[in-house]
Amino acid sequence: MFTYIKLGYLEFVRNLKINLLIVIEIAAVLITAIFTVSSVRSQLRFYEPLSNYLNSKSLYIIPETLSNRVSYDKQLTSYEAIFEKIPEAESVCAQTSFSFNFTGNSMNVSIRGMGYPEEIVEGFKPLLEDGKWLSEVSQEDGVVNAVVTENYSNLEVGDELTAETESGEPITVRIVGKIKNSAAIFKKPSGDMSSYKADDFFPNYLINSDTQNEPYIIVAQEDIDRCGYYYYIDKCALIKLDDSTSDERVEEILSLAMSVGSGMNAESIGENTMDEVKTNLIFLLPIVVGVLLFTIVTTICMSAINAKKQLRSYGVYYICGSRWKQCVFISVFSSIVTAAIAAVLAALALFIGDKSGLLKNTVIEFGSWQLLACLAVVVLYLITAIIMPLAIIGRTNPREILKNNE
Amino acid sequence: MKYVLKNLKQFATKNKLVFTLFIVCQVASILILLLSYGVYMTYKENIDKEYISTAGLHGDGIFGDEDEEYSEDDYRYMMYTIDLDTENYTKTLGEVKPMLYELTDYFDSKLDYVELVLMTEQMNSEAIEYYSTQQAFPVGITTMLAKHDGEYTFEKTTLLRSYEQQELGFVGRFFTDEEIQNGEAVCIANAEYINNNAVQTEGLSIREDDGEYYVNLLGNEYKIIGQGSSGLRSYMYIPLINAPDELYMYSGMFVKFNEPLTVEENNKYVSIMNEYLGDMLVNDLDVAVVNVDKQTFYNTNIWLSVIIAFAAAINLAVLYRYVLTTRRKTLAIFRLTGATKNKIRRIYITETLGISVVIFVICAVIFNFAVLPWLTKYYPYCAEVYNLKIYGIMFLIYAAISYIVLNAMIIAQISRSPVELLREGT
Repeated sequence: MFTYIKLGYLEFVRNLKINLLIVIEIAAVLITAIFTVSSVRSQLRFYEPLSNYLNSKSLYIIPETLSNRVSYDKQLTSYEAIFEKIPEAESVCAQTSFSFNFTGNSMNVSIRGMGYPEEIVEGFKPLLEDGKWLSEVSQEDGVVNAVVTENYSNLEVGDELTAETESGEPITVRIVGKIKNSAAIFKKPSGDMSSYKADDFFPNYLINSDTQNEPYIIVAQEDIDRCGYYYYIDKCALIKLDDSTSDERVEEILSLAMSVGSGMNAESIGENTMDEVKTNLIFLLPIVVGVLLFTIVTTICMSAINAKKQLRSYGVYYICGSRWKQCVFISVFSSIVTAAIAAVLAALALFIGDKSGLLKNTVIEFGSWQLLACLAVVVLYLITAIIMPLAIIGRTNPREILKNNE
Repeated sequence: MKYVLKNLKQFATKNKLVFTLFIVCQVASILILLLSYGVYMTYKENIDKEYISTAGLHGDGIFGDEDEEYSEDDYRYMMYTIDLDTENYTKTLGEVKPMLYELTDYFDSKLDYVELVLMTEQMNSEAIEYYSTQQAFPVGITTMLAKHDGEYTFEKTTLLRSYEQQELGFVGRFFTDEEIQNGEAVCIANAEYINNNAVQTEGLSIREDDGEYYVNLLGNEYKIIGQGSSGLRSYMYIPLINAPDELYMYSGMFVKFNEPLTVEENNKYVSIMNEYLGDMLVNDLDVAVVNVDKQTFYNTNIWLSVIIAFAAAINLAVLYRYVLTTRRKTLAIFRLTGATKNKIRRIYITETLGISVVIFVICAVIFNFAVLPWLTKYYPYCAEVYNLKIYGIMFLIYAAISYIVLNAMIIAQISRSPVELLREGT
């Protein structure tokens, strides 16, 4: 085995100039795959955090608060109230509002607290001007991680504000991230409810028209619960119901929700969202098809060139006692070396692009899907590295190969 | 030519696999190059079309029909009226002059102009009511600032331009850039109107001297260089640079941009306005702002089209290189039998470029009649992007780059001695 690896490496070095070009080509194809997958994934950015709700029996409710119409005990403005009054509720995704008990001179300006549920904290990351998102920082005792929107109040990443929990225990509110102005944030949608889709739950935050100079400070809902602060669901709650809930019961629950605010079946949101997602993905179809075809042609071409270049060596190996199958192994290992160097080059190029700010205003990310796409390209290349030598060698014999002297 | 055709025939018959690969890869690379151009142009076209706020791009029922989309040449395109509370607040020109300079310096070519209407006294509702009972109303002083090509200037607003062009009683001339930049004391005003209304306007008087009129405004004298009539009569236009600081802001100002702002620019605009005008501002400062979330998506696809084009180019380079290395024996024999380097170079260039050019033309035809109708379903803008001229330009670029790359590779090969070439591969 080691011999094949060594010979594979030697074959790579023997045809270094052309192999370097092939490395650049494969690296470009890998980068193309990452860009394409990132582009496609960006279209699902708003859908994915809410997919659990939009693909199942769910309701969207706008519970009223501080209303004369609805007595406090009937309101559905907290998670507890929803789970208590709707036993069929499996999970709730809601944007809540609350206030920190800042102490001392910690906060001289008005600030609006926003609570995000776990699905949003883990599944959605807004565009950040600076710092990290809530899911990217670890929890510490006595510290509440918070992300602030861009603001005129000079709140920056790294600032620590002193506050108290409801029971009087001191806590530190640490600003770990700052959201870019005009970035999308999870917030109550506006407009005609019948046309809501997932995008509408992520309106753009605009510092000037949105907040009247009062920035949002966003924390995880579990931190609000930990501090014991009073909060209320701010006109935006998706409730996932048990799949076994009958349609009649769903209607009853919806009537209950309408009696304390307003609401609708989330099914239409799901349908509108899927239509939008399909339209957006179809918009990408020409690029995806083009990239796919080009990737296939490129990998076949590179493998064929590689195999042709190494043909003479295979002839020599054959005469020295190797079999064609073993020559194929050498080809594969040579291709593995090529693919490995190409992967490193692609990673380096993306790293440099990221650090230099070239990729700053793009949706490029490197996650499991991008890795899968890169692996698919490499596997395709290796498969063609197996097939091409066999296809080429199968039609000839060592004598002809050596006689050809190309 | 004989050798070119002979080589081609040999290439096609003796090396079928490589020849087929050569053709297939060229076709794929050319098609992807053509596709990436369409994608690039489509996303570049879309990049500024996604807005968070569209204020100023459509009629609001005041300056035009509601929802009527303004063209970029329309004077109302991104023209914003900033209403000011002059009832409860007072600002002089001296206090807001730095604001105008800051706006024009920051926005530069993106800002057409900032225009102020001023009075020689504070015009609150009491004063307005008083003057409405009089025979005449005080003369308004209009000043503005614009910056083009790095120089301050006085932009002809639509009103001034229309009167000048339509010759609606405009006599004289407009300001020259030198007068603006040198701060020369000149103005555009209607002498007769000022003569009739100067009595109502504090600090304003007029005199005539040898056929020329001179307006005295708060102790500063300005020569009238142009006179308007009708709607222009009631205003006196003075470049900002030498307008008296003691003038009072009156009711509002106009800000005109010529393209939607980015979020950062919007922030800067609002912060400058708030800094100088603060509570005096009556309405929201809502301007057309592009959506940064959508921009990131479009930027990604623009980059993608560039990388695809790059990959296609590398693909061709690899192919050319391989084809040349398979010809080294032939190359060596040519050298040994007396062929000059130049002749060998021409043979190979003609051969390779000949195939590439023919393939490009065929691919362009296939692309235009088979691929483009399909592509236009997803990117309608592509129908406008591709035309004979674009194909021609892309062909020239393709041929030029192929020529340069091939030349470099061939020169590198033929620079080596025939012995080296023959030995390679043994």
